[in-house]
Amino acid sequence: MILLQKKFILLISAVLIMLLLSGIALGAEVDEVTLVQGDAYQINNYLIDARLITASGQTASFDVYEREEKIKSSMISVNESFTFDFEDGGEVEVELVKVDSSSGLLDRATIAISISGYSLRDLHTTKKIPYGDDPDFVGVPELEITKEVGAETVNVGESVRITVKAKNVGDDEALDVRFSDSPKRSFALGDTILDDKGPMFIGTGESKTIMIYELKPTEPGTFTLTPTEATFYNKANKRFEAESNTPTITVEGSLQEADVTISHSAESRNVERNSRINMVLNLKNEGNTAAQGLRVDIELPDDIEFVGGDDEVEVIGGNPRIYIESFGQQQEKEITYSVRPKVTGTYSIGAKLFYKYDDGISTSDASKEATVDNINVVEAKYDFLLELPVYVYIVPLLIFGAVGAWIIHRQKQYKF
Amino acid sequence: MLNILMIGNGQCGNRILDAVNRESFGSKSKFAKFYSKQKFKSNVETIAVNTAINDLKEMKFTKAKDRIHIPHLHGVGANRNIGKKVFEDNKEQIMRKVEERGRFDVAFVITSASGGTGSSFSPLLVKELKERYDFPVYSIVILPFREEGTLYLQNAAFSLREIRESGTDGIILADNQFLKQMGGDVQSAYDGINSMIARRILFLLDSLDSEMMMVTDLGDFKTVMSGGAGLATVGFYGGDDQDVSVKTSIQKALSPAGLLFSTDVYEEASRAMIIIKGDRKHLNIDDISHEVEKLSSAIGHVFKGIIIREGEYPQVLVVLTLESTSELERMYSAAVDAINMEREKKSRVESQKDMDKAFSQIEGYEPSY
Repeated sequence: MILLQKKFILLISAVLIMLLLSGIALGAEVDEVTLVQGDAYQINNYLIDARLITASGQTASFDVYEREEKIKSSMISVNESFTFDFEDGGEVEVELVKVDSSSGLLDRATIAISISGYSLRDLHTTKKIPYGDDPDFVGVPELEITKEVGAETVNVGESVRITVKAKNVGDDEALDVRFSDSPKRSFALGDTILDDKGPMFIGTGESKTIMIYELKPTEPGTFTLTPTEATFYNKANKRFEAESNTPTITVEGSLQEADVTISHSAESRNVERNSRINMVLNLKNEGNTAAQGLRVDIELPDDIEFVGGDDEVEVIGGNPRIYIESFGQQQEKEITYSVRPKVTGTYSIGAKLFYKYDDGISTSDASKEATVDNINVVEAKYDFLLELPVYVYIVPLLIFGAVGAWIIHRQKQYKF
Repeated sequence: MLNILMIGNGQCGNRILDAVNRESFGSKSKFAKFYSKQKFKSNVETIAVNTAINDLKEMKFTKAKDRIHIPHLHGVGANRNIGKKVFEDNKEQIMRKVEERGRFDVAFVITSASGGTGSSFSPLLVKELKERYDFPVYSIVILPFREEGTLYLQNAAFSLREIRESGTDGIILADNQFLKQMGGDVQSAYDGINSMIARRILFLLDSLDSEMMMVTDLGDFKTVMSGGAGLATVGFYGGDDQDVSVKTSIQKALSPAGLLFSTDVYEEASRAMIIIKGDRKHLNIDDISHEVEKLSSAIGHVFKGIIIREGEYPQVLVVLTLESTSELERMYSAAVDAINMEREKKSRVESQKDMDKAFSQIEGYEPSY
């Protein structure tokens, strides 16, 4: 009993699946329309043209056109049908439902149109074209995108102009056209002269310049530019894509660089406290371009005070600093300054170099450091005087003060 | 302790007063006032009075508050008549300064008899002091070099007389003419005389207020100064030479080389006071008695005082009052000659009014070019 029930359920399911499949295969009803001789029915870019309709014979003949090209002719009786191939593998069936007449008028044929192998949603045009009216066919726009380079061989840092153009070589207007241009590796974007990525309209046969910009190669080598891509639609809102060619650019040479070397030295590394140490800084630009905004920060320990130096040395916020606006290729400079250690010990005096330079592509920063280590500061010959008790100085000062006051007092007493 | 007032009038009086102040520091250094203290035994007040401000400025050892400038251009130009008028116009200012110093036991007025300010101020000042106070006032009067000029000689003659008549309790004479025997240039001679007088004054002040083995005091001094003709002088010797005995020192103090005024002690002196200072071992009492007796047998009474100072050589100061003085007579004789000479000159100048006749010849004329 249970086995019978299972078989029944399987049978029912199979029937339902068959019915579903047969429904697709049978086709979906598109329309039912009554035509007189000379009328036509447009389904996308196909026309079903009613030719001869005879009520007496209960027959009608039809021509089928794909655009201007007739692809089929057929005469059928009521309840008969014919089919023709539709786009994208679809098939359209036309059934003559009835033929009738009315006095004084042309005989009329009513046809039922169904389609199989094609989704109804994709149908953009289903309408009757009365005799004398023109059908409105939908075409296929096609964009030809070209990316041109100003020069195929350039040097590093040298600008090369890129021009992107688009031309509609299809048979219909391109609507909602949008372009995209991927970033370029090994290139820096320079000036942008034109950048019109849409959305835009490009008519049939119309050509437009989309982008004009300049690229600066940042390294040598041979590079293939990425394509410019576009998406667009026709009037039937069908989406299309296109992409440009990918030109190749050969880059030669190398980037510019300012290579400023710094050396830092002390006249003597063994000094007495409170004596002066003369320090020397040597700068040289061994690069192939000028350094800009060159700055050297002299880092003095707390117990070493700045005394003075060449004109280039200025004190900002208590710290000595050297600033040179521009330091050309192969330029050399020796700068001296003096410091005075106040406390005994071993010290290091650092000098941090900062500068910028234009490498041909952009402004680059550079920094270097030079430190004089092991400056040994010892007690001076008379430093022991500073270590004597305060009264050693206070008492004589008081005595001198008292003597001075006494002399002044006496002087005033006797001054006439 | 005695309260002693010393007033120096005019340039000479100022300088001697400054020398007294300098000597009182006990050092010859010009910086002594900065590191030393004045060693007066008594309470000594010094006042310098002058019409010439430059003379006051030259004083180095007298305090500014002790210098009184009487404004009258830069002095009275040796004209005693002007000087007397200036004093009368300003005497209250001077006396007020004296009054401010308190009470005194004795006063000394030091002045030159020959100059302008000192010779004219001093008689009047002594007179004022005597009228207002009851302490004795002694005048120390410096007589000029005889060759200093007729004006100075006549000033000295009249001034000395007026001082004597002013009521002073005695005049101690010092004679530049006599003291110039010290030699040297004028400046060093003046400086030497001033220092010499200053040292004698200090010795006298010291002895009047010291503990003595044999006593002399202010009373004895008054008695000595009241003797004779109201004139006195001072003799001094000692302090520098250990080989000189006290006997020799007394003899030298009484000799012309030790006196401030030329006189024959044994002939002209009336009373005397001998003060001997030094270490006990140098003071032979027999020698001292012998010399004192020798003097007293000639002139009468002699007061003597001995001050013991350990380690010091014998020093002797003698104050002598004089019955008569031949030297002063000679000076007044010279002064008369000087007065006559000035009169003759004046009459000659008046007779030279003939010059007016000469000028009158061109009266009514104008120069023609």
